[in-house]
Amino acid sequence: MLPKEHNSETKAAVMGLFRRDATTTKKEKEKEIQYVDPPDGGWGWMVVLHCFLVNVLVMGTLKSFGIFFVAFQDEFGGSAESISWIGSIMSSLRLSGAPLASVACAKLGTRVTSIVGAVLVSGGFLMSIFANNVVFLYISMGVIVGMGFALLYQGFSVVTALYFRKRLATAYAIGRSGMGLTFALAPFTQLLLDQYAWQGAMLILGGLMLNLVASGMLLRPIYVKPSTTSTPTSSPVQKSPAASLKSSSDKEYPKSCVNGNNSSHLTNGISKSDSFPSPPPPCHWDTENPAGQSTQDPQDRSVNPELTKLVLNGVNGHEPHHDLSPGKPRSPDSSIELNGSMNGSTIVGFSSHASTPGEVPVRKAKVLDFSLLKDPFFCIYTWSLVFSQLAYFIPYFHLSARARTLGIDAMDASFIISVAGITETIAQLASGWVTDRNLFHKYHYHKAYLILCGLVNLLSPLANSYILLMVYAVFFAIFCGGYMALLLPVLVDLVGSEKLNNSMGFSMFFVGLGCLTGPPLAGFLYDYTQTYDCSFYLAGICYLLSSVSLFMEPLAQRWQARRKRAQAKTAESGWKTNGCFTPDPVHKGAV
Amino acid sequence: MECTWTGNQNKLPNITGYWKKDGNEIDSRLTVPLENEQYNLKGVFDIVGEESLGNYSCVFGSEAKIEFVLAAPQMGEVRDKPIVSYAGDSVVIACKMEEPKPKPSTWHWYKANGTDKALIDAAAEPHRYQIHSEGGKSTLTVRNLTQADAGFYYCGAVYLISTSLGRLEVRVITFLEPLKPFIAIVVEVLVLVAVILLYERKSKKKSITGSQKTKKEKRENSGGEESSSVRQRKV
Repeated sequence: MLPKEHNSETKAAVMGLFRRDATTTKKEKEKEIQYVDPPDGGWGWMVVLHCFLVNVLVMGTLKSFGIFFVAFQDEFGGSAESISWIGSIMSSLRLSGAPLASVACAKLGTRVTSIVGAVLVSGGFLMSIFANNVVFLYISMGVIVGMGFALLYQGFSVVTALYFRKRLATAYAIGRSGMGLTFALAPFTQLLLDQYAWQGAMLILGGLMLNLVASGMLLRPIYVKPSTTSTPTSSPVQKSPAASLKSSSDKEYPKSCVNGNNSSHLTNGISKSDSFPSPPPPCHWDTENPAGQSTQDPQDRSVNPELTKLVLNGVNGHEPHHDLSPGKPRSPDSSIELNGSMNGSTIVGFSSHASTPGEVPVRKAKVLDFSLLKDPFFCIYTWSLVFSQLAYFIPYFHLSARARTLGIDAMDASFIISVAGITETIAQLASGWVTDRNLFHKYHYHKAYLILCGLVNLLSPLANSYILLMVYAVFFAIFCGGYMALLLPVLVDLVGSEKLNNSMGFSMFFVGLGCLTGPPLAGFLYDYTQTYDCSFYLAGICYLLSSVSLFMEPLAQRWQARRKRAQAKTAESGWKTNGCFTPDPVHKGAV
Repeated sequence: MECTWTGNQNKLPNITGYWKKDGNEIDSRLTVPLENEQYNLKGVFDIVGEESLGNYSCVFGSEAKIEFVLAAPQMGEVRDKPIVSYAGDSVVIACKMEEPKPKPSTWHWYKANGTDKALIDAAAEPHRYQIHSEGGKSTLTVRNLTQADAGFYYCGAVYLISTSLGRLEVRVITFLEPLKPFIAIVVEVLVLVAVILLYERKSKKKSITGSQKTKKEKRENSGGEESSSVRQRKV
């Protein structure tokens, strides 16, 4: 392709865009998109409030569900096992429903998803009032409420990651500390049961859940400037994430700019037409002069494969719906230029008609992004998460039973558990704050906590007295709280906040599968060996296993960098042959 | 029943011993000899009915007293908090006799009527009452509850010698009762939602008027930049 031809095509596309622009101006006026840096505060604290409320109510319901157990048994007369299935369905669907929740987030937006989730939860509670057999409860309490929880969880996680970058760990830890208040919900539920019987208690709890609708409305959509998401992966130096963000952002601004085009497509809740983010203005200066800036070329080229994905997404078709920023007419240009490897006509074809039907099937394929399963970072994180969540429930389950076998009476045993709960909450807050100081990469902290958890659990069979058991519980709670607060920040670090939606969906799904097996496995071990020590050994081993995958993170980084370089090389050859710029005869034969 | 006492410092060779029931002397006083450093007092009593139950004590002289309590097996744990149910709904109340204790021959249920207890006859009103008794457990199901059904119920475990009673309270409420706090919460939620919507609308108006100005500026700028970029490409 000769440069002149290319230019005329460009011009035609630009003119076409202008025409479309005029018609859609009105629409833009109402839906002005402002691109801001993650506020790390301000309205973000409202999001944290919502997060806190969700944790209080959701985890409170899950934990105090056992209180309804007796009431349900009296009313419906089922066996203990059939009634406990309600609780299991509820808690497992909260995790397994995450992929569906991530689809909902991508299509409807986090705010709408959270509100829908809250409506589902309270609706499920209200419906259960009219239950007349256990199966009805399976559906109304189990399925509906479980799905609602999943939607709520996905919503607030994604939004928190958007609103906070530097202080993500702190914000997430504050939100999660709501779980510490769940101990207050149990006596309250008991009080409701005594006063109003289970139907009345359900009614009032359903009303309380409606509060989540109000707090869900606080999740204002925010369009975040694409960050240097690949920074942790590409910087070989173990700098603190904040510092590395700043330094590499200078180098990789053009890369990230176009990355933003690509990945922000997957960002939460950005629905089709009007919310497509335009790259920030400085970007265009870069993409404008690729010929002149030879130093930027390698980076631009490395972007190509991602940009081709972008075109596949039919994103170009959305160009016309851009708001009027100087970048708008430029985007099709840049994509056309840089996508030398793509068939030029196809690209223009895409950009010339904003036909949604043609793009929708391709769009759907990206909403549930299965290619994420091949992402090494995602695999590392999910492996670690599955084992750590599997191991998390076991000690709590068996701690009180073990205390009883050691001769400690029930009141003291429950005291140990409440002390552990409070310690965990405080440890979460402390860990979040410490991590945000950014002395090391977050996943180092995560690794350390997991290993310490594992060691504490392996040593726990040595605890034979009340004091030792209390010591074990306190230490375990500290390390547990430590790693819990980092779950979201580590995921954001590994995968990037743009892909957070999808990766959270999938990883929660796998965690759900793992959680189903955890407590029964421990119970089976107890039946087999008649001692609770084995379950603690199992928990310790699981924690150590989960930390193993995090050691592979540097390997994964190197693998990723190598792959990117290889892709860049192949793209470079294609790009050269398209003749967008004066072909360099020296390089033609290379690669 | 047999009492054994090892005596005190003055080991008297003989001491008077007698039995008491509920504080009243029964039988005549006996002279108890000291045998093997012990005083033994044995009493044989026929348990014929409820009158035979009570507190028995054997007394040695004026110095030692040992108490026995003769009673039917006590009822197992029953709910001390009222059982709440809704008008028109049914309620199940249960009584249980603890495991190691002997099982009663039958169970009876009573409804408190002032100070009296009225026996509930399930056979007479099968659509309202249903009694299901099985060894040491018994449940009473009351259907179609009305306010009149509220109050105290007694379950009686019948033994040959007597009947053990347990007391339960049933409260009947209408649906309106929990509805009131529910509506209060819903109103609170609606208020919050309205406040948030108003706040959003206000801040949106501000941002729209603000951004419209910046948009116009951008448009002017972009027009100029547009042509410059095209020009560059031609190069």
